[in-house]
Amino acid sequence: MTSRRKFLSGAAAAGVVFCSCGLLDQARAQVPAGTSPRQAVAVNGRRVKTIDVHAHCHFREVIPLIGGNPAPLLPPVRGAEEAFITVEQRFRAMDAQKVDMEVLSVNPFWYGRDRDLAAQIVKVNNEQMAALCAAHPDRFAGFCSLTLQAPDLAVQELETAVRRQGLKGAAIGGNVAGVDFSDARFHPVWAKAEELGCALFIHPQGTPQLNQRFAGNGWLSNTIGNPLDTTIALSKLIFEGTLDRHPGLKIIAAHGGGYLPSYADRSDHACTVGPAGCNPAIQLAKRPTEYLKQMWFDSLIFTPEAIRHLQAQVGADRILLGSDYPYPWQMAPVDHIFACDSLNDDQKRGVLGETAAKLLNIPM
Amino acid sequence: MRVHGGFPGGGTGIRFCGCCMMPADAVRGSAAAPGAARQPVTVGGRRVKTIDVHAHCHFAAVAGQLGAAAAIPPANVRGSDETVIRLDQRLAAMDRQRVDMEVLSVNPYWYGKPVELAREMVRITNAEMAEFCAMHGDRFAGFAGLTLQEPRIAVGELELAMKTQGLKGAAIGGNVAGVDFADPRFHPVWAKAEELGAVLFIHPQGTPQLKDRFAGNGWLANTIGNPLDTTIALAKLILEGTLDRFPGLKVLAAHGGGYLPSYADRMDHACMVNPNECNPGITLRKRPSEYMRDIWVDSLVFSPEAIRHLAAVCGVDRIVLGSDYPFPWQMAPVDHVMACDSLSDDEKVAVLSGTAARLLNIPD
Repeated sequence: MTSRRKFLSGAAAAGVVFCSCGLLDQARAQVPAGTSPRQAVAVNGRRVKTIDVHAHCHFREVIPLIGGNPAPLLPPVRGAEEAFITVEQRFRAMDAQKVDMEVLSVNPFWYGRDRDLAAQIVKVNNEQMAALCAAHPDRFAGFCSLTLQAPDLAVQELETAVRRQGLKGAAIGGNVAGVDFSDARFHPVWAKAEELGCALFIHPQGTPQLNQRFAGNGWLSNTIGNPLDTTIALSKLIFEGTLDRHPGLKIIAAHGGGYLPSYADRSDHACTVGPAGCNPAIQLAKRPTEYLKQMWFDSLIFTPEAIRHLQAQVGADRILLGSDYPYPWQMAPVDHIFACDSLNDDQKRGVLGETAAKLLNIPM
Repeated sequence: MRVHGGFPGGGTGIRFCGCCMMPADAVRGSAAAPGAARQPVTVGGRRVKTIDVHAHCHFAAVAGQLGAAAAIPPANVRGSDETVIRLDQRLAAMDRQRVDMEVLSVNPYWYGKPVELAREMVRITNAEMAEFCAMHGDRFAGFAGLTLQEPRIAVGELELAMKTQGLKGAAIGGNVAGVDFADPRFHPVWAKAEELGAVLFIHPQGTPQLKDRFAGNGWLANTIGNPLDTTIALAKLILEGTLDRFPGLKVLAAHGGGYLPSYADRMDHACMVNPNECNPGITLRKRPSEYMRDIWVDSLVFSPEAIRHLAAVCGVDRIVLGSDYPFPWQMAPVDHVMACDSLSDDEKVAVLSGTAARLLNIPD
């Protein structure tokens, strides 16, 4: 109640009143009025190249393939227009955020399309991504797109992306039109990813099955649906034995891995209480929670306490800088890390860039 | 791999469950171990009356009087044969767990039934609960059931439960046959709960909408579906303004409140990123995450780190002992709290006893 006046001062629409002014200011700062010079980031005097592994883009070149209508690429969300990268504008935003390098990804919107069309979209995405990253290798790296509904194609696309296009892995969403990544049909793709040593960036796309309960105020289809999609994706990779089958898989999960890392322990007890819900043919190599320590998670979880908890659950060496740019969830992603007292200087450097550089083979 | 072996469950799907977390005798020991003496709990030399707010039961009299239509739903889960309480057996289990008092609840299984049948089921449930708790006032208290699909009836049931039957509030599940508690049809019930000072115990019952994705190993319908149901329930009570409308409501959420407290911050940013999904007719009094400090949550989150995080988010004075008995999620609920180094002695006393005693008006 005490904070009510402060909130009212900032926002016009009543529904956003609880968002503090600070957040809104940051949103406005998305396109800075003047030019903000690029500020080198150093931790305790040591320069670190900051690498943001969670940054979105779209390529206009695919629009003709989807009937000329860009709507699927333009959700009615702040920042959406900027997913179509204008290099100077994006650089300015990165400079303002103290982000040296973005690892770009395109959220899959083609999993429900037919194989040939999807393959064309993926081809254009990957060529454009490769060209953009090659033109600005000091500022951009990229994850490729995959035609995952056709795993045979996806295997080839991944090979091309990593071996010839210089991409760092693949951005695969949270499921493939309702089919989870643990499904056996995807095994060849994960085997190829393992062989190539490339990363798989899991970024959720919601759980439309719950649309009715999500209806109403607060965009629950995102704030619950997204971490939930990731949670299901990771849980199934663990419980179906996919990570045992492909122990070298390098999974990066967006938004701190959704709900799973911060509430993982319940998984360890499931089969004790409800053995009927567990498959006797699947023998996991370790406890479900232990698999979290072989994945990576971005830092997009908003508070130092959330980072402290994630660090306690998975280890600081598993956390990577992530901003969600151009969507204004976290407009000061580097400052967010600096504000985390639970991280020592080495760990801050790791989170800000060094861990990602090692994981993704990016020269520091 | 090293955790293999030593677990008596038999089914291979549960082999990852380490011996340490589920001692053989704890599972089997749901049947009274001979000579298990009641051990008083002391913290820093102080005797503490431990109050477990999350303990289940069913009353055979419901189906006994109403027939098969009111039968207890079958549950293929360990411990379900103990939901119908045999006094000596339950007391022996409580003694072994060092639980002095259980606050019992019946998970609602009448929300989908015709109103008249549901009303009878609730009538018998509450009468049985009241009688049982009155006979063993030092060991048991109880929550009432409510015919929430007919709020007018539920108002009367709650009044009777609180004023005449000596019950402590109501156990309301996680939604009412798909309708969230935030729906205005329930306002009269929450108004009555506020007036009576009744506690509302939110205990999830899953999210069947996701059963296709939950299929497979690991009982995800429970380990994800349950914390998710609670998360949606709480998020809607917050974002639809229900908690603003009824600021005196005493909401107690099972399993540490599901995912919401451990991942609350994302809610605060939703309307900033996507104002289109926020209702301009709703002006919240504070940030969504701040409502975490207005509810109570139980301690059924398995690790000292999880308790530490919960305390940081909700406040340690909002955590109360919960075991989920007779379902063997946590067979040493008191030891779990005692093992939390983040809690001072006073805080341990509060979690084990004091907070619940005050909240529920139980002499400690």
